Amino acid sequence: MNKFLLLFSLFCLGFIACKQNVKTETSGNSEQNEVVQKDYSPYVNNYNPKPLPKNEDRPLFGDTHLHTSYSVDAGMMGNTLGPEAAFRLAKGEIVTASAGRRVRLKRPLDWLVIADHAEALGFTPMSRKSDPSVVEDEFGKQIYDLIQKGTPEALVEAYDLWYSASYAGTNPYDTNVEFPIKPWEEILDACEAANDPGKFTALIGYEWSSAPEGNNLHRVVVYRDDKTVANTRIPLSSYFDSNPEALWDWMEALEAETGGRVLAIPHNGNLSNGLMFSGKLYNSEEPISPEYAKRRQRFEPLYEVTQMKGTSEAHPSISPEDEFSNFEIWDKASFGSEAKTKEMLPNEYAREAFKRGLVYEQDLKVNPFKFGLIGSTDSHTSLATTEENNYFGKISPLEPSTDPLRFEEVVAGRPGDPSIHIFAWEMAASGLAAVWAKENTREAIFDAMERKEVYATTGSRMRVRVFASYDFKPEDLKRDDFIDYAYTNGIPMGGDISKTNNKTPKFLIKTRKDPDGANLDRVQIIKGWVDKTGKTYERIYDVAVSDDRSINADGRCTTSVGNTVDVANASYTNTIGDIVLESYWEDPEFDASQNAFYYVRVLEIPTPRWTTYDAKVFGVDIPEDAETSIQDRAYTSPIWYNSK
Amino acid sequence: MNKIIKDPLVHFLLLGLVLFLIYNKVNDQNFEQDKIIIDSNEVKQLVAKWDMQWKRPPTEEELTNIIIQDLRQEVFYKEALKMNLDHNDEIIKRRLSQKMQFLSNDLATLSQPSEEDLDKYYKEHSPKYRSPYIYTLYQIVFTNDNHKNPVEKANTIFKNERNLSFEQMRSKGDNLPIPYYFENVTSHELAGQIGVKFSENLTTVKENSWYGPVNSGFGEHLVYVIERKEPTLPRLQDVKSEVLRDFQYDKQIELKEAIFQSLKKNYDIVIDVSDSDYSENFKRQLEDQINN
Repeated sequence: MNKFLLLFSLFCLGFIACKQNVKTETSGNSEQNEVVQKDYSPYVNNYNPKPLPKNEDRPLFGDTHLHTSYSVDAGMMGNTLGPEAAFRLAKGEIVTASAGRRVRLKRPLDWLVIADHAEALGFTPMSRKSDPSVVEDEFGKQIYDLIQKGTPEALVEAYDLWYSASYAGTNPYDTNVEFPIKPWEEILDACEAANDPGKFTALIGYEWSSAPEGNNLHRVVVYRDDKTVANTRIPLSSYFDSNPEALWDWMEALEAETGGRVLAIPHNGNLSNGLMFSGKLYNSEEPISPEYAKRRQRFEPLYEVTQMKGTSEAHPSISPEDEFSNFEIWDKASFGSEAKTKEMLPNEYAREAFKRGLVYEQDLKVNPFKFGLIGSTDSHTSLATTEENNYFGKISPLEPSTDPLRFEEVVAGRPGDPSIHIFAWEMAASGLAAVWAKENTREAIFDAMERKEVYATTGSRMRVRVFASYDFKPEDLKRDDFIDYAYTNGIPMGGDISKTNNKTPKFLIKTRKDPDGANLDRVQIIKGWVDKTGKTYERIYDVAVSDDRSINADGRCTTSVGNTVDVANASYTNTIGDIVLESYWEDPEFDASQNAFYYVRVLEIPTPRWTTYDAKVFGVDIPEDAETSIQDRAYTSPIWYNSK
Repeated sequence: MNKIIKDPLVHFLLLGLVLFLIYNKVNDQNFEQDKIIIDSNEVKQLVAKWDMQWKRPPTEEELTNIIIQDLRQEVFYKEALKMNLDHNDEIIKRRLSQKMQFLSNDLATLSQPSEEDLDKYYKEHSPKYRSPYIYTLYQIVFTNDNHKNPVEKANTIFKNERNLSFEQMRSKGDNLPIPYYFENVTSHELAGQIGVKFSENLTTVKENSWYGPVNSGFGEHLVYVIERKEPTLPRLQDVKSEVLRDFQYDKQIELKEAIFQSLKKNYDIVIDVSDSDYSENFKRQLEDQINN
């Protein structure tokens, strides 16, 4: 038995928590493909089409959720890289990872949120510096000595000591409001130094890590403003109060005090054992109230639907007709000892929450679960890697290597029965947050998040646009001024469309592959709605499919796109799938009296999973139960139809 | 000579020498007689520590207690040193080695580079600070979605249609939602729109003529570059804080290694592992690594 096993279970327990030359490729024709354009008329070359339409832009890709050595669990697990290294990697530099391998992103990110755990923020770096706040505290010194000792056994002991004190409520760092001042200041300085408006945005943030009984209620808090707002308060520790409403109180107070703005992004409903989208108030049998719903909508406009610890869009058992729902699913446990039951699942997945939100809206007049979708990494290595062939693991000891730990470590459900264990090979190389912002600044990105004009990807950078209006026509797709037209006459992802003379909403959808990635398989609209009796429904429509396949009368394409993945060589070819998929779509079963939501899901063609790349690179065996290939995808924020 | 004086490594070694001399001197005195002095400095420190934890000064009784506690620690500490209990203690080893390393980190941040140092560093790393290429261009693309052989299609269009006006050329490519005309866009922005490969392929394309095909993740493009602005190097004073940050970041990593390499020279390192346990190859590699 590997001595690291226990160590990593504790991580889970954690917060119970050559540059290419231009080729002319003239197919045997050696004639130089270059000629100076000569015209008699001097004006020919003056043809001057309009500059880019005013709304023409590209989505800004980033990660809202990256941990550095300043997070206790990351630092104690051997992550030695602070925020500066994290920003350097995000900006495209080569960085040496904690375990010693060099790493670089395929393409730089446009923005990044360093979201270290608020609880005992910066303990490990302060400990490494022998800061008096650590070595002159009796408990701190105990942990410090064990970290200094540095053997796996000592680290296990440090972890054990740390978290057992936390559970017992006797860990002085959990609620010490002085301790994080210095580390928080250091993180803020790193953010200010990395922020380069127009080129790269360093948003300020942290993670509030509430996890009663190991059931995950974590939220990432993101700031719109700069250091002057963020340093008015140290990040809120969930050990003061693990109720999300306490976080909203804190956010409200911060906004009132400073005039700044913050939002919170929950994640991993799949590890919440039924708590994430519960219909009851926290730790209570009382149903959620209109006030709760209003506050949740205000402070939590987004949900992180996919990340390394699995994807929480939809569950195969709740959506049995969705053949693509079984994607990077973690459904055996949480971080505690309690096994997952079927009854918990509806409270854990985004699609169900959207549906149930419509029901609550009927009763409470407010939809508590009205949120947009983003993906992020939640990596604890300071490395925001999301590609299958560049997966640097969730924590430093799981960075790429031949060590069996990389696949076999138990990463969730550890305190419970072995049947509920979740293993490191089940980690996903996911995800990214795409933001339709007009400019690459803190303000513009934050505002796009607030209006939910964002989408999630499981790691690739495909481009997805969707607009709804009662007046769209199929030929609008081909307009030269498409973007300006769509914004003027329709509403984008994340928006609302209200009942108008019983008209049926029409959708214009444009998607484009990641230019440096795989082709596209299909585009789908996923609709959910509620009838008068409060019963909910969902339906999937294929609205554009590749390779001239057809969509049947039921709105589905039953032909698979195929699979070009060569498992032994961990490769694929873009010989299947399309580069661009577009659609004009009108709901064929629209009932103007029923509230509904529509979101878009875009699937890539199959590509090798990270475990397949590992097998090729390291010559190890692919874990028996791991898929050899996967279809990376994007999920947009919904557009909601309101019948009132 | 000037350079030697400024080298942080030299600072480090000098500092080491000074510490060594002081240590010897102090030690000599201590051998004469075991003496523990509780002076007002010491007491002030204890009071400050107490104040930090309790947010108030200690009472006299409390102060007496902490002084005795401190004394107790000092006595045991001194006795432990005498008995060489600190030797080969894993915690103490790590701590002391870490302290040495932190000294080097501090030195790296403390040593403010001179203007010349920074200028030299800037010149050596200039590609990093250059502005990106900026393009104004037209492009059309032929994709696999619409053509069996996009390269051939692009070549045919190039051959037969390259003298068309820009307005006419526009409709020759596939109808893709990529802008036909880009005005003053950076290579970084182009990479975001059409991919890294496309952007990289443009750096050598001649201006003011159709050119292609240029490959991207979307297909085969024909490109007419109206203008390409070459990367320029900003003045150092305009990017100074960024360069300084990079300088110190690199120096810290460099210095850590340099100090280790230089201190290592003080030791004769003998590798004595038995051949039966480890291969010759392993031994050779290990020796190379250690002695390089």
